[in-house]
Amino acid sequence: MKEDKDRSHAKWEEWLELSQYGELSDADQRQLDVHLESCQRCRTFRNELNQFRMVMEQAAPASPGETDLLDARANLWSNLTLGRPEHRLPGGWLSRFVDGLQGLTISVFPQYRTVLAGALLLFVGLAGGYYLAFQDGRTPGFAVPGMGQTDLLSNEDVAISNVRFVDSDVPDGTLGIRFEAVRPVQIMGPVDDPDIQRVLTFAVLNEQNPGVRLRAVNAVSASEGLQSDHEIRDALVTALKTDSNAGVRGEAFNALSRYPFDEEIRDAMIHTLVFDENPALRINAINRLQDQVPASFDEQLESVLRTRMVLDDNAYIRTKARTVLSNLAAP
Amino acid sequence: MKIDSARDRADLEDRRLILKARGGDMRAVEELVYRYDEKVLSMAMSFVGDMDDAKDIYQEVFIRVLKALPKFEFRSRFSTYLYRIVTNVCITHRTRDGKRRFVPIEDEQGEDHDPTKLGVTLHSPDRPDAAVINHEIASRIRAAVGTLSPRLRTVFVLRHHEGFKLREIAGIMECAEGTVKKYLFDATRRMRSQLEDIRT
Repeated sequence: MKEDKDRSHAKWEEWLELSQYGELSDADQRQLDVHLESCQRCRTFRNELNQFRMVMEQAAPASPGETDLLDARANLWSNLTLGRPEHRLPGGWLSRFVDGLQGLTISVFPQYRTVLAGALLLFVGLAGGYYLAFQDGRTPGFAVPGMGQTDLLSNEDVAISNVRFVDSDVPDGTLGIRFEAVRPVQIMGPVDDPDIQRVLTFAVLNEQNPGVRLRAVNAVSASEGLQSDHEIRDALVTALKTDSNAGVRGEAFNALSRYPFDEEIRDAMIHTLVFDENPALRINAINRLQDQVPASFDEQLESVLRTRMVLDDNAYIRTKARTVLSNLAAP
Repeated sequence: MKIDSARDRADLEDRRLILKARGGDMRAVEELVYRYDEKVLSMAMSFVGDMDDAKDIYQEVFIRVLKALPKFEFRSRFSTYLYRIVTNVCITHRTRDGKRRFVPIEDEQGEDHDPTKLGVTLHSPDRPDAAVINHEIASRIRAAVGTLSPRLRTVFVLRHHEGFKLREIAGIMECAEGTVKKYLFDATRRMRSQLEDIRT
């Protein structure tokens, strides 16, 4: 009988504690209130809990003051930038994440939307250029309407792709097929020849083999006469920002160093400084940006430098960013 | 998606800041830290009772959290994740002289101390000696908390000092709410037993 009573009171005591913490449902609270009216033991227990709660509240640890908070914040930023190496934040974490979401770049930095759109237009233009080049007979080799079908299919160099059935349900058994047939083309000429330039630009942007991309960028950068060509410059900017191969990005950077420093080059440098995982490229980028300070200094560059000052895992870049900002702040 | 509570709104704002921080926005990093750092410092202070140690914990917590930010997968609320780190760091924290903050209650009070004879009474704040006595009681409470196992201590501090709901504590400790309840009842019972001589 006594055991039953104890078991029953265990439940009420549990409810009393929950009630103290404000964790009892309204229905349970009403039951508890009714029970308390008739149970001296539970009322005593409730008083003990109240007593304990008051002790805890009155002797609660002091809340940190504003001075303590500001001190902790100052130490945190100091630790992140100047503290022990294990305390410093890895600079690559931003770029590693962004690499996986390369397509989101335009949303992170909307100003690159223009460059990416330009690259797309360039690609479309090149495709059109090939077609037009064939039309006036300058670069034969593409299979297009007008070429004899027998001639086309007997040529061993021709690659057939993208086969589609146009009409396969005719009474006489005739079959209509559409396909693309391309054969390799070789052209030779000076590097500033428009056709050579188009192919080089296409290779910089689209060639899958990084070795070919690298050679294409090298060829572009070796040319003295290409600096006024915006299409090539845009292709180099795109390569610098998006190429998966660090060597190609490095050559694109070197090639761009020969162009006048304008807004697009500046954006490319900032992009490299923020997102490139290769520290050497980031160092080159911050050095080039520093050369242009204060002329090109603005809120965006300040924000980037503040970020690099804290988050970059390369000590040189952190120091350089801090130096640039300190020099600007100095009277 | 329906936003049905302040917590959900806070969660969405955290998510926005984290994504911006990952994109290199330093102001977002700062804002994220400043949204929670007062609570973090307060929790650390509640656990260790010493401001210098609390500040050390603050540093360690945010360095850990910011380093892990790129890998945060939003499986739990950021605040829950952050407070989990705080409790873990507090539990394993060692003081600047290399000792653990929590010491057995007998060690702190000396050999002559007999809790059954102390009969300490809390004083109202307007009494001249109130601060001294309340400080002594706070020391007693801190020492008593130190005798609890890490899990009981965590639950007790989060509930009694920081006012977290049981559901929130369950999220921080990654265990069932019923388990938290059991820990809390156990911890409170032990604490009441150790501090039964203190009266208001």
